[in-house]
Amino acid sequence: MIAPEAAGLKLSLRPPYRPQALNISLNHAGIALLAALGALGVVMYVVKLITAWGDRAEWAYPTVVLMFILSTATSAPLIAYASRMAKGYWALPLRRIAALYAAPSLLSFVLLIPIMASLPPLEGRSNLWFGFSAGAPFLTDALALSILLLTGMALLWFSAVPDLAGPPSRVRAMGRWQRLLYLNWTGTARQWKVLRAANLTLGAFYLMGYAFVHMLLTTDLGQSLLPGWRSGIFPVYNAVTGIQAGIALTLLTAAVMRRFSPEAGRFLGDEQASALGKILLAATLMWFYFFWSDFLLIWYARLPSEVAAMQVTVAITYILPFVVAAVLMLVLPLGLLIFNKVRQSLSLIAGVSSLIVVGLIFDRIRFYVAPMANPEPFGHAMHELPAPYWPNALDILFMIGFIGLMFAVFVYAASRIPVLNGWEMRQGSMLRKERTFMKTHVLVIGKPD
Amino acid sequence: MQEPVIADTKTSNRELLDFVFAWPAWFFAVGGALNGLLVAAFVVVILMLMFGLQFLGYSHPVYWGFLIVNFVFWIGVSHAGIMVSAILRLTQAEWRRPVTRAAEVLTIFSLLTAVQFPLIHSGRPWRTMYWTFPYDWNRGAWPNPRSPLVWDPSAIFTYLTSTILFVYVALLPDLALARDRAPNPVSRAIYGVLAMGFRGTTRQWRIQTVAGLLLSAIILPIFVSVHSIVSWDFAVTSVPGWHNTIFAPYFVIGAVHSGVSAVVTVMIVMRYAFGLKRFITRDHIDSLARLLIVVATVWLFFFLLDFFFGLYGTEPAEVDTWQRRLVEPPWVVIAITFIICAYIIPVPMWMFRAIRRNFFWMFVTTILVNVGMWLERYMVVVPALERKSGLTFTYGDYAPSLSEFILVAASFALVILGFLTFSKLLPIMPAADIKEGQILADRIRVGRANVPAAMRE
Repeated sequence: MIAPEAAGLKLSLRPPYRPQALNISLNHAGIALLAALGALGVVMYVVKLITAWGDRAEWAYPTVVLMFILSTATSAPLIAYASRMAKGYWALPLRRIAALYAAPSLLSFVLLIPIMASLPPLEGRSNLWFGFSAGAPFLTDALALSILLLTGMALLWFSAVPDLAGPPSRVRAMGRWQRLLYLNWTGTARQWKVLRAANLTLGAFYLMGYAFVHMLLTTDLGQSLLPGWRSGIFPVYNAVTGIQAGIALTLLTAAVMRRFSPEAGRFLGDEQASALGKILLAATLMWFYFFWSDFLLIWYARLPSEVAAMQVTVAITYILPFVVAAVLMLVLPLGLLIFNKVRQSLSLIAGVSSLIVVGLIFDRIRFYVAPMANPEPFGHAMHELPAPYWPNALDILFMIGFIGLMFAVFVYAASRIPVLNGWEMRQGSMLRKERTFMKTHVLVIGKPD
Repeated sequence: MQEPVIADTKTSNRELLDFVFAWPAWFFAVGGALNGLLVAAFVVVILMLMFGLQFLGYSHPVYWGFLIVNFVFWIGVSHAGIMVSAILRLTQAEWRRPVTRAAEVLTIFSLLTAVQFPLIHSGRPWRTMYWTFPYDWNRGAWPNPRSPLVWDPSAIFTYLTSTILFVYVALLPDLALARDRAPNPVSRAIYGVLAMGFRGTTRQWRIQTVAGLLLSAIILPIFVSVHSIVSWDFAVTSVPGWHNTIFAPYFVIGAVHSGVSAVVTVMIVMRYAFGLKRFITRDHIDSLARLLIVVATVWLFFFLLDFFFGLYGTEPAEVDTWQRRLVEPPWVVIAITFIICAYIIPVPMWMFRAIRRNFFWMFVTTILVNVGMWLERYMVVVPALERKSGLTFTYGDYAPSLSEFILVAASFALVILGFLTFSKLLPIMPAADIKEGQILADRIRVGRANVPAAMRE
């Protein structure tokens, strides 16, 4: 197998490189398993809708899944945007993989509707709406999330059109609506300019939307339902740990793609692992920084209402998920990622990434189960700590099924849209040259304005 | 973008060391004026020691005024060096090269200035020894490690030490360069000792590069911790308006906003004052302005989180503090001015490429940012203390005195004087780094375009 870096350098040669979508078949054991899990997710969702509509505690673990999707699938496209903005040449083969997660992130909207419907009225509890009555929080949160998800899809579609459209003659032969869907793409200089501007603008909008939606949902589904919990850093903590998990998910997917997709495997290598691994290490340190900034203040000030909330999420009620999350998202990744060998190997870093993704589930359990299952969400302080609400068999099946569904939707999207962004990789290869410098070979990277 | 400065080594060396070995007349005029301000501040401090803190106009309940605001401001500016230097070095951003030294030096002198203010503010500076160092073991008087009074000096002096080390390691090749080109034997001997025998052997270059990278990585957590700890001076208390968990990242990002803006201001001044037009180009300020757009927007988001979560619990004292900050005069004027200066004017202007590449407008907007950021710290600190509380029953009143204005002006004089003195004695541009950048610079031809490029290992 040709080295990924060398394969990347050769892309500028003729004939033009055209990436293909994944060829999936239910005969493959992995695909069949994902399909089965996806079906289980759909069934469990319907069962929940029928049996638990309006029952907030019943939607506690689905809220965990919602926040998990928001922190993984919804955050992954940010890697595509950020690397594009920072002109990170190393991320070229990863951008489409990251952007494709916009498709499964649509599932978060499906979950949001019944969860929002189970929330109690805002009166009598702390909230961010300050008497704003135009449909808050139901319509406002749904609107904010839907705009974010649509922006993500637009970002995916805009970046995929040059790969999907094919030669100009093919587009010209299409019907009117189909041509419109393909943005009438014939690859003119003006179209390339618009595409570049659209990618950057949509990306910036997506980043701001990501932060804003986190602010709304973490408050409306978390803090607002646990009296006394007041933490300005909590939305940022969620967004940052979401980015950590989004990076981990992208690396994990890249490793799987390298194993199962020969085409993608040619381009995915240790260069991506090494560069993204450093960012993952930084994001892992951020986990600690944001946790500590929250914890220290509450521990030091010792205001009873705040301490009680901390006891629920960290110290007493949900101490077990907290410990598991801390080990899987901080201790083990930090201990492993400081080694160059781990960071520079896609296979090894995928192992670390899987720990982080699993750890995130426990992290979200400790934050969202207690508020959603709290029978007394009103007031400004808790009188006694709520009892832990552990998942029943239905909840566990729901979580497994719905997370499986998320991956199944990703695989389906990857079977429709190529997992490699050929046009960007080809452009990138034109800006990469290998040269001899003194007695060694060096890579020369061009960075146009 | 990132057009390399192509010049032969001899010309580069001469231009970069020009100011070190020259004595322009303006240097003495500016130095004299700055020293005058420092003398005035010295007199104020002596009078304060004689008459106590009331000489500065402090009275119950507002004991934290201009001095603490200035302390926070200069700690914030000190974040410029590490943000620009360490992060950009680790990410191999090529445009960093002419920027780093000035940013690092700004860090050192901002920090040295910042630490003066808690000392002055203590009223009896020597007593800070009691709180921070175990001064008399026989009395069993140990500092309280739970107190921010211990955290602050620990963090600041760790940051100062590591920044000096960081700058020194990066300076070694330039000290050797100055040694080799010094016009007289005395300065040659001094530079020789400081250069620690650096001759540019392969082994020395390798060690210097690895040390620089390691220090970059080690210094980053320190950089984040310093302003976090400064924020915790406020936030660990239960004072309404201060006790918010977002304070640490909010202070850090505010510091970066203020610090990187200060670097842009300093670079533009350096470009004209030191004749470095070939080294500080439009590309550099363009790149820094792009960085500032992101930093400023994150800062605004954190400010809004601070505001929203201040009001979130609808606790009367919190609401009262925010009302005082944002609605009541004179604070409403300060609040509007700070948000306009720190975000509303500069960021929309930076969206335009023509502005980002214009030295005059970048100078004006970055000055505005720091005016805004100073006022922001003032708005964070004072109104929260002025509030009506159970034991004061009425609002406190605070108006800065003339002495405080003199001390604030002197702090700017101290930083500028330190910066000027450094640039007079040592190269303010990293000559070795710039020359390395020129060696690594390349071009790639794509169709008819000739794209600037750089070599990577």
